[in-house]
Amino acid sequence: MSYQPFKSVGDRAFINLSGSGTLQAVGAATLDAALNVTGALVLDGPASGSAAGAGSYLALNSSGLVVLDTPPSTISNGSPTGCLFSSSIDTTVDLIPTGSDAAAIIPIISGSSLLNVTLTTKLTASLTSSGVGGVDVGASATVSKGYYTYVVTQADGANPKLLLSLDSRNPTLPATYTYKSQALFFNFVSATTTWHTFFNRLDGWTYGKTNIASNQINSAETSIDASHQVPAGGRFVLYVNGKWDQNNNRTLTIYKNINQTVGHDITGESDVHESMGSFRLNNAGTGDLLRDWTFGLPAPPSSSSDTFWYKWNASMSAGGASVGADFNAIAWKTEAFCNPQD
Amino acid sequence: MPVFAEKKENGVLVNICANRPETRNTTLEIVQLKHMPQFELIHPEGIDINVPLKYDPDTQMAVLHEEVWNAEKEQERKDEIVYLMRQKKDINEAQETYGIDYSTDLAKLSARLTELTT
Repeated sequence: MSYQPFKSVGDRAFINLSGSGTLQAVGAATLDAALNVTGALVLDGPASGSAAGAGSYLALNSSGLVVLDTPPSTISNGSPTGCLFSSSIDTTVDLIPTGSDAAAIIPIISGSSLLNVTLTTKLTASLTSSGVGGVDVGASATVSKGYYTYVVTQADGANPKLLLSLDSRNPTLPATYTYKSQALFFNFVSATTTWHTFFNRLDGWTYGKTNIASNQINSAETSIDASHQVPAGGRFVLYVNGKWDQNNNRTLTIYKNINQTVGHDITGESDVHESMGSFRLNNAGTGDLLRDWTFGLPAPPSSSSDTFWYKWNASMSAGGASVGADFNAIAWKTEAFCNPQD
Repeated sequence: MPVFAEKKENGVLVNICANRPETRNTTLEIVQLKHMPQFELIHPEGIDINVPLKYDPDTQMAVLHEEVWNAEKEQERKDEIVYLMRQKKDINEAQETYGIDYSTDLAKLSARLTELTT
């Protein structure tokens, strides 16, 4: 037999709702005044759906009812803070929590679940180890490539570790590990499976020197593939040295990669106005040098091997044997530290 | 990471970078290197000064092309000597004509000439 819900019970106190007693809602029942609860209030999640769980909060649904909800996965937790990378051994890298209270706070994500993990102890990864605390694929790092360093954790941010990967966004997670940070640190691995010498700062910038290209002499616009030397999606500082030894001007132009659009133009395209340097034979009759020319550039996503372009304004064939330009990266930071506020 | 370079007739390598052969517009022979040149090892006058490099088939690496480098340095030396001699001549002429004291400048020129010719 069905029954109709009561509309009003006056100010009578119900004193015996213990045991299996349940206030049952029929239809869109609401309380039209304050609900006073003197004991503990336990809110349960729905039998199905995504509400409740870590990070849940009270929210109003479209009918104005109070429900448990979870934040949308696109919400930003901001940049990692307090992350200092260092190494006293050339095959390892340490993440040393160096923020307030000697802690590092790092956003980690698993599917649509976003958490912050707080580290207060040092984490280490080795180029010659495999799995957590080492490389994600293979027994050790592949030489002459750039490696990305991630923080990975098990469920609910448990047991955080470092993981090294060649992939700029999707490392292969070890078994039982489900959460990963964005790539926090990037560096080049030398021919002897050691890190290039580096110095890292809390703002995410890593300083070092990685040779990208040598003796470049093309007078047609030429792309340079530095996808293994600078972090995809990050920023880097390009350091250029050049030489021209004839009695006429040569202009070297560098173009940054713009307009990378996933699914449309994944390689991007060069802009038409970028840094230029002009120089020629010097008075002493020796080749003039373009030294220590530095400027910042965006690194395109991993889908592009056109990291940047260069062009000499005319043929370099009349020059001596050592004319041309050398390109090096002397500072870089990963996508994790490239939020608008960074 | 494979590295490629283009080899000129005199053996000098140009366009050394990771760009793959199929992306290069060149008639020069393309060689593959094991690694990028290690500047600290092969740049005798500092890592910010370009030098001619050649392919070493034993190590599959780019190394300093000493023959070309020495010839280039010798030509630079000869050019600078001529430049300094001309400058010295012009300064002497200015000194005689206008009576201005250029002794400090001449001393510097002479010192550099001595350095280049001994």
